[in-house]
Amino acid sequence: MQSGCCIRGLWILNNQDFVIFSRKFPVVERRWRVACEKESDDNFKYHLLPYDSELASAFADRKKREGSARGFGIRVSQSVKGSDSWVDDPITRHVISLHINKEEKGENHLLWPLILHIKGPYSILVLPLVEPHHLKSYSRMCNRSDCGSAIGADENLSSLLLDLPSITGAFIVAHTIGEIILGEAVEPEVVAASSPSVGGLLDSLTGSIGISGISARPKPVAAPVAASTASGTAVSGAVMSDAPKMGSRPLDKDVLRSFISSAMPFGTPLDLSYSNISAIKTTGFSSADMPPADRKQPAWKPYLYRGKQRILFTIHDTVHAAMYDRDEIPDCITISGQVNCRAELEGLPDVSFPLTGLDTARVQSLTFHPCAQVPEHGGDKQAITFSPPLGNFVLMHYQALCSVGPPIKGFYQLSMVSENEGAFLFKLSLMEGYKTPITIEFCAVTMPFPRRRVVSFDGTPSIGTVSNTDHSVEWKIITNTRSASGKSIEATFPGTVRFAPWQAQRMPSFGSAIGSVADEDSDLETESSSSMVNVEDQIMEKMSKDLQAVDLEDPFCWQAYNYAKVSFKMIGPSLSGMSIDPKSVSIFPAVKATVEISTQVTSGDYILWNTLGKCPVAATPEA
Amino acid sequence: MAGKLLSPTEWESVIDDYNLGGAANLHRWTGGASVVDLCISSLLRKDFPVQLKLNLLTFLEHDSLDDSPLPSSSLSRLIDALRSVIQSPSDPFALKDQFLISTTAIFITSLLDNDELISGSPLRDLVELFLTIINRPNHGLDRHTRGVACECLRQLELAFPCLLSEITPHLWSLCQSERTHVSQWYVLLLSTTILNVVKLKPSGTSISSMSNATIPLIPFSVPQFLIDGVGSDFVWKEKEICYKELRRVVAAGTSGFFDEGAVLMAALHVRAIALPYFLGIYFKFLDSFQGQELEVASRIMLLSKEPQHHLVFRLLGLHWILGFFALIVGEDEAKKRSILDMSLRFYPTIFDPLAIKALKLDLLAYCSSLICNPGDASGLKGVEADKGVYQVTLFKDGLVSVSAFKWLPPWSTETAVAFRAFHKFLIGGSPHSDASSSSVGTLIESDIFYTLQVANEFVCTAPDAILYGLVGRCVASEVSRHVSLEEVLAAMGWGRQ
Repeated sequence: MQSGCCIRGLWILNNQDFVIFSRKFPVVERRWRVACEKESDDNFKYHLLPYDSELASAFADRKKREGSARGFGIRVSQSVKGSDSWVDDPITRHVISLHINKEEKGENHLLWPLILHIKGPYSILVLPLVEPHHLKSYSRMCNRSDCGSAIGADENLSSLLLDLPSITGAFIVAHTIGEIILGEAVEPEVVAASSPSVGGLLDSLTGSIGISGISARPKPVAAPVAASTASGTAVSGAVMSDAPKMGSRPLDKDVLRSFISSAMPFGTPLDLSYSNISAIKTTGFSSADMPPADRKQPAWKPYLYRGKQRILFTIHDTVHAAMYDRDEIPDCITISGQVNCRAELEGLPDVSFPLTGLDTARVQSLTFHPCAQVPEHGGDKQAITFSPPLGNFVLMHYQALCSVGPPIKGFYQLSMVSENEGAFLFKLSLMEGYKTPITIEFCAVTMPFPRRRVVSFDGTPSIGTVSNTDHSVEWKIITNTRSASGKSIEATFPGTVRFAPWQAQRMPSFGSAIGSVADEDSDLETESSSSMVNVEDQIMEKMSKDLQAVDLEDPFCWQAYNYAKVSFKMIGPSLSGMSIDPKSVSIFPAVKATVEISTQVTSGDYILWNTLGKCPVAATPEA
Repeated sequence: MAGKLLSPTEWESVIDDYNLGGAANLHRWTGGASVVDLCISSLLRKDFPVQLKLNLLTFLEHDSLDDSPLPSSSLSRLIDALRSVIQSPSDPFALKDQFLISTTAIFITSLLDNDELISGSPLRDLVELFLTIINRPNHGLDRHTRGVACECLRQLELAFPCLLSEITPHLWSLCQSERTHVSQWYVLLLSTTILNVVKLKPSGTSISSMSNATIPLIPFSVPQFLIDGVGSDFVWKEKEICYKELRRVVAAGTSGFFDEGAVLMAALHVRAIALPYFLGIYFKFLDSFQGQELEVASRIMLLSKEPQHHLVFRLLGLHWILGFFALIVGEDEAKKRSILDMSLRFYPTIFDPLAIKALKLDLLAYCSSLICNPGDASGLKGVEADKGVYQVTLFKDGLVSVSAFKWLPPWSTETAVAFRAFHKFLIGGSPHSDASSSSVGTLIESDIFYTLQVANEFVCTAPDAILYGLVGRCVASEVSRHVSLEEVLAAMGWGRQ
């Protein structure tokens, strides 16, 4: 087993499958060559890394063979022996192989494991160094004539991946490069208590800052307090969409080259912190930047802060919920959250404080930043000590159950009264059982109808305003903090929504579809609805025939269900129970610094399933 | 010097041509002249833009991969050029750093392919240049370049083990002095050097003490044993070196900082990165961790549940668990038992991406396959029944998360995941490689198979292609060689007209 991660080469392709950037690392490649020569036989020998044109054509071939850039992932009827989906595992959408054709030599050889990361219009491929027997083993798996990787088979993908930590390192490299080329390398958000509602304009401004903007920043210490919305606020949950999209600024190759030469000069990643690296590249050092007299400056803190001292913490809960309002299916509410920090402290101090809310019955997982030292988990209160890096960072991540009832509960019913008209009813109760100082800043409910065009809606809610777009109806329940401070709110909204006549759609392509099982017997006849006993079943059946397969990265086929999505933001104590007492934050060596703590609670996937329709479920283990 | 000088625009075309199709495309530009020589003259031009020079350097690195090793004369010219850039007050640090890196890479590839060059002056000169750079601890302006030079030396030490063994005491003292953020680069260099000394124990080395250097840092000379070519077959030998001292150095210099993985981890605040490294250590010292298997498995399981991680790390986490179980389980009933105790944690949750659901179903199928004896399941958490019922519970519960396949169109991803799980549960219980005909009976009589039959009512709605896909898989497999297609279809009640 290798102890580290070395990269043989990396390539970036645009959405026309053209290589627009490539970098090979001769020192690592030489190691691979030596290893190959040791283990070469009739079927296996060393091959030069592909040139850009060879790699591009191999990538295009795979795309054709596997239906999409990512591929089928699991074995389907079109999967051919020797291809990734033959291995029958979802991870082959991320760790791929390419068949390189060296035309002039008439050779065809396998390149694996290539880490595929799709970001914006770009496909990033990173090839870590493995040992020849790993490659041979994968090659056998792709060509095995049995029925796919059996669990516990002698040679299986899981055991192979367990033996390859370099794959993890290569993914980090790919992700960092993805953020750099899209200009998204930003720090987590820390909200200063003096300006609690930072967001909106500031966020959108910083979100659009390009790489040059960030690297032109004088030093990381000058980073804006609310640097981004990158973490914790992803609206559609944890999964980032990897679908390539059009339209982006051109790739800044110089920035990328400069990053690579600092972060992994010889192919071995040393330090992937883009903010530090770009600051060093653009600012450099002056003779005034003196190292501390008594301690060594850590690699992750190349500059020391100078100025007014303060430390900021933001506790950020994101609430995910699947609300069914059915006796047989329990609601499912979880909170994932993080504590972000920004320490503007001179020198290299240690910070410590007791964190409360760690009751093990409620907290499911805790992960800390490597700068933190935490005693063995246990108990509701724990002392956390850390030596903070520069800029904003995520001190810890947690997953917990809700310490109080769900912030929004109730039901959503939608019933199709005719083929093009639905009657709906919302009956919600907000913040039931919640007390001040917790307040709700905004709350809105959206009914998405991605496959139907909304013509009009009728109905007046008991509170708030309603508007619609072509494919959704949005009910803004609370738009103003003052109207809703510290009391529970009942909100109802009965109404009807009318759609344009249903038109069957022909889907151009299927994501990771079962594929050629063509929709031959899809009957598209438009029968008169008057003769139907159950118009609802009829239309649902008709509509579901038209559903395209979703990617393996989606939790289920969202479009197959009717639901309402709740979005909200609350200020006040966290729902997870995490809290920090500003008076108990201590800094060593002692300095006078203000401590500011803010808490916010926002919605993640907070879904009210249509009580009268189908809904996705998962079995809850009876523990 | 042969060949004409190329203009910046021409160089751009050369590099593009090269990247696209390799060295074969270069001849029309160089007219047969040495690419290195052409590059060197351009690198020294004051009127060429820095970005182009950086491109030229990486181009040279790439070219060293498929070109024959450079002759000693070219290497000497390269060093001369490097020296003049490093000493130039006007060249930016970015160019100096890249020049150091590229020269090192080119040297390593050329020298390793031509042993005779090791004794030559270019390598000595290069090391000496690096040593001059790093020998200014705490100097303000060029601190990052000193870090880069340390990394270059480290790469040379990795390529030519024990190259720096004789100057280890100097490296140790530099390590102690350096206090800027690049001190870690010094530590890495020192630890690599010490590791090689301890591992390979070069004979004839003149290190007698870490605290007293017997030879000066500069001028540097390549150790005789490397020139003699014995570097490749060093053996362990008890020698005069003071191991106690070495241990002290390692403890002081590298505390909490033993490998580049640590730097990577610190920079990224992603603990996921540390896990595979930890697992690596775990497997090397399996016995020392006896009894902690479940804690390890639980920690990996958490990784797969934490939504802040990118999907791929969560998938890797599930794979590690599967691979980990396969490693530890063996014939040990107690371990099987503790894995089965974990099975409730493998249930897919509603918002898990389908890829995660698929792998969690694999884990459930794995648990199901662990139960060999009817009594195995009794007393397990949440189970008060025998083996068959337990297996079916896992199967049915797991499948709920993709139960939409019953009514979604046959090409839906839910259907694909569900049928993959059918297959895994079916074959999971059968020995895969050494199938005996008795396993056929086991397969058809298994409770899972029975459940599939019961589930027939929805399976029948699936189109033929999917069914044949599933059956085809089974038939292709080793275990099912003994089962005829008709037998399976008949048993399933899927006889087709």
